[in-house]
Amino acid sequence: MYQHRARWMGVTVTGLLLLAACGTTSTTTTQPVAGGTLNIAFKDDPKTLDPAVAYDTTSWTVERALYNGLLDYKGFTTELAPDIAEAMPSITNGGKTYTFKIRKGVKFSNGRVVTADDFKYSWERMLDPKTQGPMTGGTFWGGITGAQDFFSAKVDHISGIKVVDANTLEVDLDAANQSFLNIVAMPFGFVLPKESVAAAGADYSHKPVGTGAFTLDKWTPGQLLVLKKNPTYFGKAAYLNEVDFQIGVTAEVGFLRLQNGQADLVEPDVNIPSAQYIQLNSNPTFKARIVTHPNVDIWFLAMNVNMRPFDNKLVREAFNNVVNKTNQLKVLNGRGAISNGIQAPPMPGYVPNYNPLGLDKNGQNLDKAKTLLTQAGYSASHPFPAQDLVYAHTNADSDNLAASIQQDFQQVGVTINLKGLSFPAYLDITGKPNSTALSYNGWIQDFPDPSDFVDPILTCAAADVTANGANQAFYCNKQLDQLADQARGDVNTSERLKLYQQIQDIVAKQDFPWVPMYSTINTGVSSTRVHDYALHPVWPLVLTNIWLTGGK
Amino acid sequence: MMESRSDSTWLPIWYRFRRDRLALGGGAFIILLLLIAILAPLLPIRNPNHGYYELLPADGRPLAPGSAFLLGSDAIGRDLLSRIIWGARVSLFIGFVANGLALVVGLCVGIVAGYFGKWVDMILMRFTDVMMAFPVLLFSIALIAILQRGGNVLVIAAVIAFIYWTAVARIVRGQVLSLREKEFIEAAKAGGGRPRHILFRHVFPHLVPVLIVYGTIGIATSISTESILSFIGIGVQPPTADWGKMVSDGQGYLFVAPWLVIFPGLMILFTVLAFNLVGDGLRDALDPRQRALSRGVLGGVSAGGQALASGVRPGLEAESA
Repeated sequence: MYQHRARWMGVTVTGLLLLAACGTTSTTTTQPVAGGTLNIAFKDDPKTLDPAVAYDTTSWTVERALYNGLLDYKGFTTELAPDIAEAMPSITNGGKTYTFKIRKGVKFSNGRVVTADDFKYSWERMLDPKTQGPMTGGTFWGGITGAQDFFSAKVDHISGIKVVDANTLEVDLDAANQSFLNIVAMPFGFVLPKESVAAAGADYSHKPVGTGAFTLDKWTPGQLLVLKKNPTYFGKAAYLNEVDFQIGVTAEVGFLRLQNGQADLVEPDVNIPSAQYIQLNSNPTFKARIVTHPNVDIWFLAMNVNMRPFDNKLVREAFNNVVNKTNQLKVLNGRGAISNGIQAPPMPGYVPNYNPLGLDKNGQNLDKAKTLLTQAGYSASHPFPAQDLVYAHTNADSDNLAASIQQDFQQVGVTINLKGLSFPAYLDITGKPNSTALSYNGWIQDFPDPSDFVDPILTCAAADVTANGANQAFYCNKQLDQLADQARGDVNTSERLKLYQQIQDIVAKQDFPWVPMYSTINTGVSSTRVHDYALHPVWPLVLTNIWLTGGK
Repeated sequence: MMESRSDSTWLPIWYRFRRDRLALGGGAFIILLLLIAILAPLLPIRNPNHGYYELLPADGRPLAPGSAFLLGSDAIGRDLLSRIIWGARVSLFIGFVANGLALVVGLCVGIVAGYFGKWVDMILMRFTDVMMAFPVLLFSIALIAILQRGGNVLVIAAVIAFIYWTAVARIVRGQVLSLREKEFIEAAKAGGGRPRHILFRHVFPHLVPVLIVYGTIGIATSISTESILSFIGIGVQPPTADWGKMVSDGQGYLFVAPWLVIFPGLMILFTVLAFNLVGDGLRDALDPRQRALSRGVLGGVSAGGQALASGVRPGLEAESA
């Protein structure tokens, strides 16, 4: 998923799963009490509550409380577990057929029981180009048999999604995909009732109906969004009676409210901004309440390989020697680790201290950069053309991070102009071919698997778009694609991870579409009356564990 | 005509002006600020855009005022003193250019409307009314969004001018309306003077005092508007040092590094105050009869700020005075 604001991470190495427990706020031995209203401050409304369309952390924060899919993650881990499915699916036919048994008696909040038909309907709706969601193409769901024909509107239904009986759903893939179950667990796989969608029409986003622990009670855009506990929820009931999203509250105000007890969480889907992090740390009460968890994310500069001057590989290699990554992290209060590759620390197969170019501890080698620029034909008489660095402006941190890069490039005689844009404008301009040469990007996992750091952002398919591309370097290497195809279906985990390391080498040692910079550590904080707030490795926020002192 | 007036008319004005200690102090502050702003590249100060990351602690906490940085550093180790000095260049540049443009446009519209009257006046003044009906901030945001050139100081100056010329136009028109009935104008007309000659030779000199006063106070309004635009993120773009942007970036650190907000905030306050005081003093000096009226109506620190906050142009108040 695009990241301009850090989302959580995932850990798939079982040995590291214990880390998740560190994310839990230390609480006393008191038993949880039910009741009360949790107040969450947000600057912006969720874009939509239609799971077929939403692909941002704010929307997912709310959606996660309203809907369920077949699978979910077990507790605060990255281990997949059945949710609406009765058990984990049986996988047959060489990893190409998945059979899901659906739990009996799960009800939508409109009272109707969920059946296999609802999943077929919800998924086909989500994949229907008419819905205009982000999954109507690409590798995630495109591997289901018949999905490509459905994308191009040649057929009315996807042959690979079969309703065997009311409680059995079968899914056929064209080729084995080791991350398919992770894909099923994404919010795009949530189930929703056909009749409610039909009744609400275009207004469905404001009248969502799901199976979740909460239902939407009221949504006044720009002001307030209220969730109420769902009395018919099939899982363990939430402690909270109500969750109020106070909208239109900036982070500065939000964290003041939190410290005064007027808000309990502030934008829990993003990392605490630098300024507020420093401030919370200087307050002993709240310093003790900060919870942390490593993100599975990577922040990098993307160099558009089709645009001058980055069509020259020497230039791209030179740029890989310039950025002071330690300074980048200092802007973020040291919450992260520098990176010279394309993988994030808690990811399976991550190579610690990966440094294929032999850079110094800050990730620099300025002399090498100058030499390479000279080799590329730039000199005092033929200076390197000034470049715009396009970045998403979220808060003061965004400007500071970009200014730091500007300063680094001054040292090798390259002028960088800063171009901060709103997040939608940024996505628009960086997602179009041949429109942005240099951009500051972040990518955070959709699910905890290395394929998510290759397929959507570094493959030829991801570059072959007219708009909304996520391969912002527009990088395409057939050899890498072949390895990615092979890795996607490989059942031998260690062989599979080796393939992803080969891919990392191609990117970071040979082709240089990116300047990798760092991966971050996520932090969160809650007001003093909140108990058992923890950072989930995948979801932006899980509400069902949270309870309030005295239940009010 | 202007030349012949210089000794006899301007000297008494200066004598009156210098009796106003506040205005004199404001003037001294402005001159000092101008000197510092102009000489900034020559002053022995740090590069305002260079981040001294190596001096920052590991958690990136801004450095307090002290031996390393006289006024402290920001979150990426930039020298606040340097940034304030360089920020003065942006503020003053926009103040003078925006207001200069507003004066020229407002003067032309006001003089033509006032002198020719009838349908010309009708059209021009109704257009001015329409322009005035837009809320200042929304209008600026819309204009900058349309121009897609946020960050260019000239564009920002033009946008501010585009908003504030209306106030000048109204004042000028009001003056011209009353001047037009004066005997010397009728005499000039009777003598066969063409409109251009009459406007430039006879009408314009009488507008100079108004323009000087409004020009000075308008600079204060322009500077505070620019600060607001930068504060909400559509004004000057990073890493350019700018007071409004510095306050905006520093607000998150209010409790741990208050100097990030206080110093640039004080600079905006003092600069706007200084221009207002000078404007106020000039008004009294140029037109002693209005002295009693002007206090509390046009004068005072808050004229620009209040007008902005309420969405009303200072010109409305000026005209009614």
